[in-house]
Amino acid sequence: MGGVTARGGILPLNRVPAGWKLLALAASSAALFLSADPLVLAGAFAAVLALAWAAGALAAVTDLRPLALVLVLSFAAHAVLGDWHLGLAIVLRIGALVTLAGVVTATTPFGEMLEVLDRLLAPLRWMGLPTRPVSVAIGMTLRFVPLLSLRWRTLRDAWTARSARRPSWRLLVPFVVGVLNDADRAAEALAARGAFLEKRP
Amino acid sequence: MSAASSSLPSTVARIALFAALIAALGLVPQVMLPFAGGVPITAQTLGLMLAGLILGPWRGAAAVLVFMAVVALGAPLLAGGRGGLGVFVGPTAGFLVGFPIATIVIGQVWRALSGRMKPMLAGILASLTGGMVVLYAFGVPGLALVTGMTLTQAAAVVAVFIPGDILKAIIAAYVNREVRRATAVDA
Repeated sequence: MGGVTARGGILPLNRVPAGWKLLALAASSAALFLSADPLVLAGAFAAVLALAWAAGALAAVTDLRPLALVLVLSFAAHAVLGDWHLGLAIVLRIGALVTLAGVVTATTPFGEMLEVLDRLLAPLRWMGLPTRPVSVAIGMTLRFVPLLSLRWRTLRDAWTARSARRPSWRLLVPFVVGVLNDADRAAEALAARGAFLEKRP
Repeated sequence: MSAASSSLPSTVARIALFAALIAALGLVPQVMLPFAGGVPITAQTLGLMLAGLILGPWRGAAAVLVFMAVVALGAPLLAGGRGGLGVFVGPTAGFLVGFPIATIVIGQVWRALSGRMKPMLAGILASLTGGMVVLYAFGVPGLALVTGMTLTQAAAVVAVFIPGDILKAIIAAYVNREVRRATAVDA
């Protein structure tokens, strides 16, 4: 589920440029909405599974697990109305779409995706807008997620060391105040090191 | 407030911080509330409410967009450990599209109301307007479109989240009021 990385496949999708894979994903996603025939969509799902297997990214199917409940509900909603064909078609379509997107994610390293985003932002640069802060924000976000968990654990430990009661959601207040300070200090440190200067190609 | 907190680096850092906060709240496991018959509640929209209230409409929306970019690039940070491009074509895609708009509305309603009533009430009203009404206005049609359910059926499916949303709005309003008392926030 996003955390899946392709390995051991016979089809080297990793070497296909990220931009092509994204275009192919967009085109297939649109194409899958053209048909409501369960047979056609079952074929599409099978093709996606075969592609996932060949690329060594069959684990992308686990992307569907959190969707199980909503898939069952939507199938049931159609079955109750007597149109289980449509219900089946929709479940197969979502299965194919989400698995295919999972294959693209699993066969494309994070850095290559970031380069695609950077290219998409190029028009803003031509207009003279700085895009460097966008890259900095994305990098800082990735660094902040584990930092936030650490800060929360520290606060929770401080609470449990002093109280017999369970930690409360009220800890959110010192938590947010604390991490706002962390963010300001990180900003000063990064600015001092020139992180916000636009790269000159 | 200090000059540092309105500079470009500080603004970018706070945007990244709330993007990370929205992500981290998505990693909090879904809890089933014991009352109301085991209602599922995810913490992710609490992050939207806090971003809109504390950062304001535009910086809050920027935080949401950075969060969505990181998810699209492949980090499994959406509620339930989901991530990658699949979430943008799945049944909950409508909610994702609604995320930044909901955050803008939360920030704008807070700005409009905060001078006229107690901060707790303004915070709750802003969070419910954006985080529930606006978000569902995108999420329910999205769910109906992808799953082929009728709007009524789709609305019935998400109705189980409403008690949790009200609880999150109260928590967000409380945290917003206390954080504003404790620190310099300019939204």
